[in-house]
Amino acid sequence: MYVAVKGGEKAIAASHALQAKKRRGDTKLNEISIHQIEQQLSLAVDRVMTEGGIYDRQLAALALKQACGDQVEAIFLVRAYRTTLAHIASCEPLDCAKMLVERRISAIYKDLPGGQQLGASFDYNHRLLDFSLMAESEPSNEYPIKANELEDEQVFTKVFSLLEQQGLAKSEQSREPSEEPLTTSQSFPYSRVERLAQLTRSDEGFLLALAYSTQRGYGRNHPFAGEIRTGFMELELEAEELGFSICIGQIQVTECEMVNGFVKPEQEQAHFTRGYGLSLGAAERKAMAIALIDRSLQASDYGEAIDGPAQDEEFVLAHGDNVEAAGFVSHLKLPHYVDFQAELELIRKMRNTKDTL
Amino acid sequence: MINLESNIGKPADDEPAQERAILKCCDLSMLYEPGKGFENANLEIFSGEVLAIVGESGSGKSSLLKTLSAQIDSQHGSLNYFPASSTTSLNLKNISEAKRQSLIRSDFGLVHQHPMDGLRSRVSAGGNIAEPLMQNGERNYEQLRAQALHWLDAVEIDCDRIDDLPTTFSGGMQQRLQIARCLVTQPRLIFMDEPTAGLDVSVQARLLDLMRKLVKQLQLSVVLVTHDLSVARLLSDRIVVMQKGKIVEAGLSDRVLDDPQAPYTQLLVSSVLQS
Amino acid sequence: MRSVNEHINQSAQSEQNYNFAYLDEQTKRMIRRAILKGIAIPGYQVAFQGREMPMPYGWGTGGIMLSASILGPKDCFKVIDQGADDTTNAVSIRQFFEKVCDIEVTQKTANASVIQTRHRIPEHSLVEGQILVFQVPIPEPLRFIEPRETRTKKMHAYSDYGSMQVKLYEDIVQYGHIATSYAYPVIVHGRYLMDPSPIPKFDNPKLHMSPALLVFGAGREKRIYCIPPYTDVKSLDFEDHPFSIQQWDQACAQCGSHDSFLDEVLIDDQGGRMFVCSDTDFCQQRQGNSND
Repeated sequence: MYVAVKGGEKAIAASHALQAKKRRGDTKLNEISIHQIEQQLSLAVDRVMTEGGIYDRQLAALALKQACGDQVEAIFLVRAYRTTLAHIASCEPLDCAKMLVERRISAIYKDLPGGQQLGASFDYNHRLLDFSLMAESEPSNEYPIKANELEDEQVFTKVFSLLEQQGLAKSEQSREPSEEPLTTSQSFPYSRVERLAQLTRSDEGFLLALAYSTQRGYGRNHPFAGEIRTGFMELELEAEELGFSICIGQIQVTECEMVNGFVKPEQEQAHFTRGYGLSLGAAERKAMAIALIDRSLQASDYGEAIDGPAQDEEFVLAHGDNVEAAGFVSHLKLPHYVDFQAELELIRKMRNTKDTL
Repeated sequence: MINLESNIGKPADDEPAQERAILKCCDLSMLYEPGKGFENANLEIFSGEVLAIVGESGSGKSSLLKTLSAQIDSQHGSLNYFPASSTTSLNLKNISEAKRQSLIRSDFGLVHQHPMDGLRSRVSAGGNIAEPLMQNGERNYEQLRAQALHWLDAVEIDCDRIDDLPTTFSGGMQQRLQIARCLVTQPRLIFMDEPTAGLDVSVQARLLDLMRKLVKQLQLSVVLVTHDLSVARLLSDRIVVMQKGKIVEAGLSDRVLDDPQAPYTQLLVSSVLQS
Repeated sequence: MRSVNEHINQSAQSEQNYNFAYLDEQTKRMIRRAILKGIAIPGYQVAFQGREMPMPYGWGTGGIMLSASILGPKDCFKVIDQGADDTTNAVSIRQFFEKVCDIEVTQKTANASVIQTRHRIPEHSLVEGQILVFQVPIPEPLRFIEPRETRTKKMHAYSDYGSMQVKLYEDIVQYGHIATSYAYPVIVHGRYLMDPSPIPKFDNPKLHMSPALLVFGAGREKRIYCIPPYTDVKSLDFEDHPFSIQQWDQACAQCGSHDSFLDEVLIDDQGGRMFVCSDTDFCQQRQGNSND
C-alpha cells in the first residue's frame, strides 16, 4: 500500500551530515586551513572574490573550503553573505594610474615609460606537471610575506594616457561617486558603468567563451592588449565631516584596457575605440574577457551591426551571472510532479483521441 | 467581426475614387545625417488611390514611407491622419505612442520588401493570417479558419496549405501570404515597400497582376515605394519622384511618365526606355 | 577586514545576527513598495532590486523575498511545494523561516495567514485576509514567443497579445485542442497578460475573484506581480474551444475526493499506479487526520 513520502526533514539533515563528512575527507590527514587556501590557492580565492562581489580573502577562502573547492558554490556562499551586509559608504573611484604595479605588460609598444614588467605569470611557462610539488615542504623562512613588500613596487604611466595625449583615443570619465550604489533590476539598457559592474561579477567561463567568439568573427572588434596591469590600490573614502578623503585600506586589482578598431566620426579625427575590464586580485583572464565584451557591447554606440551574441546586451547580461544560472539549472532537481502530471494527462488525452481516429 | 461577404467578388466600381485625403504631410523632414533621409515633403494621400513613391536607392523614399506609416518619428513638419469615424484629423506626432500603435494596428497595413519580415516563421499560414484578427479581439476559432481560407483564396494560395509553415512556401507565395495577412483586417491605408523587388521576373508579373486586381476590387488606398517605374505605371494613380531626399516631381502617373517635367524624372524615364 | 577569530566568535551567535526574517528593514520596505505597486496595477510585472538569498535562484527565492517582507511576528506561515507540506524544498523553506523569525508555522491551510507555494493553489478555498505567495521561475508569459525584455515590455504596453492567442490557435491546428497544461496564460482585470506561475491549469479558476491576495515573486528575474482580492482573471481561450480543466476518471485512493488535483504514483514495476491528492493537507483533513 502506498504511503506518502514523509521525513523530508530527516533526509535533509542526513544529507548535510554526509556532505560535511565528504568535505573533511580522510580524517587521518590534516584539515586544510583557510590560511593555506588563501596563500596557496590564491587565484581560486581571487575568482571567488571577483564574482562573489566582496574583497575579503579570508571569507573567500572559507567559502572555498566549505564548498569543497567548487568555485560556483563558493561564489554563491559569498554572495548570500554579501546580501546581509549593510551598504555603509561608497569609496572614491579607483584611479589605476596610481596603482603600485606588480605586473604591467603592453602588447602595442615594444618599450614604453617604465618598461614591460612581467611579474608573476603562467605566461611563457611550459605546462609540464611539476612532480616535485608532490612532496610537501616544511614551513620555512624562505619567502615570508613582508609587511612592507609593497615598497618595492612602482607607479607607471598608463598606456592609454599616452594614446589620449596624442588624440588617438578618447579619454573616459569616472562615474560620480555620489550616485546611488549599483544595483541590478534587469532593466535594459544598462549604463556602461552598470554593465561593467555586472560583467565583473559575471561567470568567467561564460565571458571567456563570449570574448573568444568575438575573435572568431561573431562581432569582431579588432583588439590589441593596450595594457594589462596588476597591483595594489588604495581605497579612499571621503568622510563628509572631514571634507577630504582618507585611505581605508588596500586592495589588489587587475585592469585590462584593450585598444580596438578605430572610428572616424563626422567632423572629428579618426580615433581608436576601447574596451575596459577590472577584476579583483590577479584574475587576469577575466579582466581581458571583460574588456573584449565591454567593447563588443558598445557596438550600437558606434552604429555597428549587432550580429554576434557578445554584442547583444540582453543576451550577455541576462545570462552571465553564475549564481542565477546555476540556481535555475539546478532547480530542475526540485519536484515537478504536478506539472508532469498535467502533461501526462494531456498526452494520454491526445493518445486516446488518436486511437478513436 | 468581419463580414465574410467582403467586397472581393464585387465588380470594380467605375466611379472615380472619392476625393478625400486620408493622410497629409506638410514640410515633413527626417534627416539622419546630411544626404540621408528626406526633407520638406508635402503630400496628400486620397481615399482609394495608389500613390507610388519612386526614386533610386538612397533617395529617401523608404525613410519617407517609414515616417508616413508612423514607424519612425520625423524631425520637422506635420503628419495628419483623417480617421473614418471622425471629421477632425489626428496629428500623428502629438498622440501618445499607445494610441499611435493602436491606430497603426486598426487602420494601417504594412507590406515589407522581405516577406518573412512581416510573417512569423514558426506559425502556420492560417495562423499568420488570423493573428491580426486575434489581436483585434476575434475569439472564434471556426471564424478565424474561415477568414484564413477566404484570404488564402483571395491571394491565390491553395487552401490545402493553410496549416503549412510559410518557410515551406516559395518567395512569391510568401509575399502573397504577407499581403493576405495585411489585408485581413481591411486596413484603410496600406504601405508597401518594394513588394516585388526580391522576386523573379515571372513571379513578379503574377504578383503585380494580383495586386492590381485586389487594389481595384477592394478599392485600396496604397502608398507604394518602388525603384521600378514599370511597377509604378502598372499599379499607381499618382507618382511622386524623389531625388536626394527631396520630392522633385509629383502628378498623375500617366502624365509624369509620358511627359516628365523635372530633369531628373526625364533622365529616369529615358533610362528605363533605353534599357 | 575582520580576523578569522572575529568570524569564529561571530559564528557562535550568528543566528541572532540576522534581522527578523533575514532581510534588513530597508530591503523589506523596498519590496513592499513593489508589492503595493503591483496591487495597484493588477498583473503588471514590477521590477525590483532582488537580493541574493541563502538558497539558490530557481528554488523559491522570489517567494522567500516576498514572504520575508510581509511576515510579522504574529503571522502563521504555511509552505507547500507541489501541494505538499512535507516535500524537501517546502521543509527547507519552512525551516529557514522558523530559524530567522521564529514564527508560528502550520500545515493547515485554514490556519495560515501567509502561504508560500510552488506549483499549486490549495484545494481548500482561501478567505479574505490570507495572502498566497507564489514562487515564479519565468514571470514573462511572452518570453518564449519573444526572448527580448525590451520588446515584451512594449508588447505589454500596447496590449500586443495577438501572438499569445496565435500559440493557442496553433495548438488546435496541431492537436485539435489547446495543449497548454500548466503555466496557462491569463488576462488580469481585462488588461495585462500574466503567467500564473507553473500551476496546473486546474488551479486557474481559483485565481478568478479570489478573496485572498495573490502575490507572485520571481527572484532571479527580479519581478513582482499581484492579483488583488476579487479581481477578474480570465484564462485565454476561444469561444468554440473554451478553457477547461483537467479531470480524472479515478478518485483519490486515500480520501476518495473526486474534485481535487491528483498525482499519479507508481506502485510496482509492472506499470501499476494509483492516484492521490497532491494537496496533502486537504487529503488528510478529509481522512480525519490532523497534523498540528
